[in-house]
Amino acid sequence: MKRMNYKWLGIGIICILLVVTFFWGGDYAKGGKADSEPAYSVEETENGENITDLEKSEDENSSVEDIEKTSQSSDSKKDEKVNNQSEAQSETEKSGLKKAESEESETKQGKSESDQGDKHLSLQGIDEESKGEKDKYLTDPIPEGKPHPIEPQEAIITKNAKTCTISIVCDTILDNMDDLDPEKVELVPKDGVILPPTKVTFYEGESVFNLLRRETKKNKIHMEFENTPIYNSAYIEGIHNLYEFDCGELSGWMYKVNDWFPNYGCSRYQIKDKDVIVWVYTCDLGRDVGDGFYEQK
Amino acid sequence: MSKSKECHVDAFSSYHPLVNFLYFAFVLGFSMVFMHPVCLGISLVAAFTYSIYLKGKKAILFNFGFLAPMLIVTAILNPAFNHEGQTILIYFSNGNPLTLESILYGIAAATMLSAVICWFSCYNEVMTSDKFIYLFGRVIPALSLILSMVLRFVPRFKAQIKKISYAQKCIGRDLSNGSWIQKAKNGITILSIMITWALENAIETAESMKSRGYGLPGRTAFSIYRFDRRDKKALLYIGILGIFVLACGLMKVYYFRYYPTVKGNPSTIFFLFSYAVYFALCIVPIVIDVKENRQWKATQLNS
Repeated sequence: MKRMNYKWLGIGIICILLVVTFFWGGDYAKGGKADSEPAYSVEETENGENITDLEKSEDENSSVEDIEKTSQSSDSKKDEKVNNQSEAQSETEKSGLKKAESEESETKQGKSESDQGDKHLSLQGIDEESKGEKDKYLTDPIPEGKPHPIEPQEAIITKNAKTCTISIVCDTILDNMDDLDPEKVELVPKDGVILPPTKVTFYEGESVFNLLRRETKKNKIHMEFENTPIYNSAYIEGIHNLYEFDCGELSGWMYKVNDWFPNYGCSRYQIKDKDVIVWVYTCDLGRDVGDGFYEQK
Repeated sequence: MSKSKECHVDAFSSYHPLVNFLYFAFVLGFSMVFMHPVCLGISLVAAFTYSIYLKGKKAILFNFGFLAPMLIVTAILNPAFNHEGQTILIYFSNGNPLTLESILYGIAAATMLSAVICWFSCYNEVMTSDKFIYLFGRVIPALSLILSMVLRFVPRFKAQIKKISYAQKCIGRDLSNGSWIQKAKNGITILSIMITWALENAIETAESMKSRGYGLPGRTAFSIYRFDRRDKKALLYIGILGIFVLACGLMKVYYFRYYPTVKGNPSTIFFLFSYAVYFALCIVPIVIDVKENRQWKATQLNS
């Protein structure tokens, strides 16, 4: 008898838990939808302001592929409620990012996000509330006129080959040789250049991290990274066996694109045509390589 | 003849506690500090040999059933999480490289871990708590008592838990019968009895020690340890070898680096000599035991 009682108790608890989570989860999704409505108007007013020439040319290149994709997606998912929701949501997100794109690419993103609609519904509420502060991956507001992060899981890598420039330098170590781990001294090149500026091809939609991984592999340069889910990006621990903290406690690898140090991870920075990417080793938290991030605060 | 070979007595254990302690202090310390592959190899081989000599079949089972698998697992774990090193062999599917240096370091670290564990199992066999108390009871009475109690903690609790569970088995409340809920309940009962016993026992021990005047000035303790000539000889031998190895260690003779590339000192005659000295230090008890054994055999043959 006693055993039976325990069994029924267990089953009962599991059932109650299931019911509670079902209703709670449902409420949460509804709240997200309600929040998304006012954002609509914002999108309309700001649409088209920040278009750059680069983005336009990209869209023209990929337009053929996109049209194919959109026709497929609209046929299959027109009637579903989920699709409507996620479309609305993709638009709000874009408005949050203040990024304007042409019609083709908008529907394209709508498709990509309908694939992971549920994931977004739960995250959206947080997104809207924290506008002007940090986003869900703890990124501070992006400065005016700078590209916004694009999550690696949402990025679509096409077959459009473009070119950009990448280089890897560690010349700051030369000024701080005293702090350097004595075992690593032999690794530092005389001029501090590990990879001289090289023109490389990349595929549209790739992030700085994708490119770095491919180029280090191609040039037989050692590189170790670690995925940090909280920032939704890879963190570069060491290149060419020069690791973080090898040259003082404020040292490590940073990247800059067109002389700007993005305030988010390299997996979230989508490369554009003719970007100039530089990986630099800092010995002073970015201050010695020209990043003023900590000076502003 | 064959019988005496099987159940031989460890001669090194019969030496003065100071000799035993000094030996283990040196060997354990050096095993933990030196990462040179030759030193690690010497330490592991000596520890395995001595533990088998001390405990026989039990040690073989422990060394090859537990330490060897642990060594392999630890050696594999390092390259899975550490990707430092100049020589890239292949790339993992997630994009990080597998490097030769990380594999070598993994093997070295695993060797060190199992050697130290093996040395401690020998230490527990040789340095019994009465020897430890004898050495440090005067200098640090409270600490030495605590240390000897802590070191005995696990084996003692294991023995007591066995006793309790046998007693419980007699009244049908062991882990072996009943449904899993009943089993868990019985387990918790055993645990609660165990904890009660432990608390009570601790107080009893403390009061008993106090009533006998432990740690009071002027209190003498009986001990059967005598520091005679062979102890003096052994102490001198271990001391000289140990200090030589220590000096070599401070002068970075046993220096070896794994990252970013594997590099050690060139193997000149002096370096080979320093390894030989380290080896000589590690096998002191084995040499003593073998010598004693041979002497014992010789006297038996003569008579």
